[in-house]
Amino acid sequence: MIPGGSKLVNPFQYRRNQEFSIVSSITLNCNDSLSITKQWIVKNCSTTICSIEILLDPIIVTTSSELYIPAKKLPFGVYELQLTVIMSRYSWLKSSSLVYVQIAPSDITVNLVPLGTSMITSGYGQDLLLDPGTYSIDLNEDSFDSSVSLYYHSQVFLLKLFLI
Amino acid sequence: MNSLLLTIDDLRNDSSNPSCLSNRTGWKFGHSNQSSLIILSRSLQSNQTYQFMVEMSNRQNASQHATGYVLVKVEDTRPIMIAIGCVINTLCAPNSEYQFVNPTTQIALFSIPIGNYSRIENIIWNLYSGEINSTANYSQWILFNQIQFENIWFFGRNSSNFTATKQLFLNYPSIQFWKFEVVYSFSSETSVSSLNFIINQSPQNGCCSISPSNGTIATLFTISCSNWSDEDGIKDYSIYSQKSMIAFSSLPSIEVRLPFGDNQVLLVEIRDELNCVTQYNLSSISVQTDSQTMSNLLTSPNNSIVNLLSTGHQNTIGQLLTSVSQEFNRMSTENINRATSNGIPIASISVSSLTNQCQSTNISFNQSALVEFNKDLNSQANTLEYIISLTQNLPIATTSNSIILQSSSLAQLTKSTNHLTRTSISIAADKCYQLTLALHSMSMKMTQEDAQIAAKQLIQCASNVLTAVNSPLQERTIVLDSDALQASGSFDDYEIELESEWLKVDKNTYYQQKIADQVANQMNELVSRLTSTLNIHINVGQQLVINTSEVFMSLESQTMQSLSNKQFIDGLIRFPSITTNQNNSKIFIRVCFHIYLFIRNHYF
Repeated sequence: MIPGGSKLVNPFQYRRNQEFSIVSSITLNCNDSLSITKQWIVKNCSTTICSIEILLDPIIVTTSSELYIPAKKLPFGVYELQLTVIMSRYSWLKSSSLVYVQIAPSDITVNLVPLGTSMITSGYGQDLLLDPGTYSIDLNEDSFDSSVSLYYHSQVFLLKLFLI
Repeated sequence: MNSLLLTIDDLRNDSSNPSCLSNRTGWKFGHSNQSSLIILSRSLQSNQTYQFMVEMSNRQNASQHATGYVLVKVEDTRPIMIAIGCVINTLCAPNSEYQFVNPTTQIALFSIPIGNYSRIENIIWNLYSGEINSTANYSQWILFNQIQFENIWFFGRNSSNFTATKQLFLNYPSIQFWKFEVVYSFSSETSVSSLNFIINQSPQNGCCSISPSNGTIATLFTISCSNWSDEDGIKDYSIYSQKSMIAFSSLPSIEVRLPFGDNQVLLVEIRDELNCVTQYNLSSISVQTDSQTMSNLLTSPNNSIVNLLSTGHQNTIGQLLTSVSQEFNRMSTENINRATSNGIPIASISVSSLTNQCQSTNISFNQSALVEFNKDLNSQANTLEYIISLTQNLPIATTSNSIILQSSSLAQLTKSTNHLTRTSISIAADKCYQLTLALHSMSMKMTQEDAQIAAKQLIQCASNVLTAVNSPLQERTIVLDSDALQASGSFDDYEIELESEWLKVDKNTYYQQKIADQVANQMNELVSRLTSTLNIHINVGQQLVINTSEVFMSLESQTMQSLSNKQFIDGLIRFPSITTNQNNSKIFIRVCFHIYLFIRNHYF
């Protein structure tokens, strides 16, 4: 498996907004029919055991020699990815290999104004709206839900003033 | 206070560093959950610039913080807020008060006024280079003289979208900070906004090597990269041979099979997590081939393509397809040369590339050479059909690497157009179309360079299959045995339509015409999707050219004003008279030459 060498206590780390691929290298020692079937299974892990198989988004191909997981398809947590290869003609001839990955939270992009513009002009006689609850981007999700600010506590700091 | 920041609602006062908010109660929360804040009018002083910082902390995990900044310049007028963003959002990662910009690709920005506004009188973009004033710890901005590079490095200076090409960053490598400022003039007020960037460093200080230094198309070469460092982390390594992708991997050591060629120079692209790329040239290597190696690749049980295709990953498959198809293309050229040297007219057996010079020959025609040519042609066409059919099982992952790799293989596999059976054409056309859809679906996440490399391969594929499907109809190539056989065994629409008197073509032509129409429709859609994918990266005045031996494509965006009597390549295209109020509207132009000219008879 590429990358290889992961363990349940030491899984590969990916951020939730990262895509990644696990590639397998399969060698057959057989001169008979070379037809094989491949199946990936993904299980959710606790600190000691991986038991619950999870249902993957149908766009993820689980029958190829490599497993490509697009961004934002696995919730936070540790997973065991198992590839089983079976000789089509002799179904009792099979072999499996495991990889452990951890999906960690991605950063939040905090925007006070739309699109994260660095500098704006505002009128002396105008109210100035600073709205990080609306304009911030949660890279873990497709959009920033402003109700998330119940989850993210916002406080505005006045930092410094300087003249240009 | 005492070097600690006071939040905006803290009424304590630091005598040595008094608050700059003249009215400490001049604000209110804009939302019941306190996620927005309104600074009330007349609380800030005019002609001053204020910086606001917001810190968000995760309620469940207090150690997780995120901060955001904005600078606000207060003026006496009532300006409209202008927001500026990156066209390819994924290329502009935030970094504290700045956004990262990759010096290895262009930066394309767009701007929009927020809220109601009167007519926009004028837009102008200004560029500043920045340096940190170490004592005051803030950036000093110096206006950059753009005029001399207008429409060379800079595009769209007077429009809502502005683009600076990578030449700007490559020519000023020591400048770490850039500020892109847009000034909107409305009838009664002027708004200024800016987006400030810090240069993202590309991977540094590493090297790559390849061993052995020569071999055959079946040899496994190892490419090892070491010591590459980058603050953002290395995302992947990709290997290119003459602009075709050979492999990509997240690991620094990659095993590859290489196509035939003496003194090939391979290029390694090392990419960081924010898509900033360093290119590294490997020492040149020579790869030999022979018919025995080819037949081993096709038939030997342990090394066969079938085995590797079923067990290997897409790198292995892509390399094998590229090697084998280049081998086919080489054999095909040899066969054609042999045939023409025996007096067979080249125009009756193949369609030459855009760059080939036609040579007339006066050699007497040799019938046995034609028989020999046909035999080789048909045997190779059948093998090629089998290999092309294997690409159907390759899943398409929506990553730029995966799309580029598979597109490169398809462009090579379809290159010997006279070898493509109807089955080959239909599979290849469909695969290239699917790859185009995948490319289009992620067009807002790719760099201009990646989009262009993928598009170049896919437009070649489209051009190849169009040539292949139409050339037997024009009697430019020989009808392949397997097509003739398939036609003679089919009884469907042809038999029904045969009843109608106007069907005057033979059975093979009927089926060829039918698939030609299907492929033409599919490839029209493909070209249209590729155009809209590339269009994202083209600002007004910019041109993008794809020029290969199979196809020439030029895309550019222009104002109507600049178009009168514009010359394209060697031709002159006149546009209808342009009325003045359209002068500033944009028009997008695509000029495309395929080898094949669409002079066709429609039989039904």
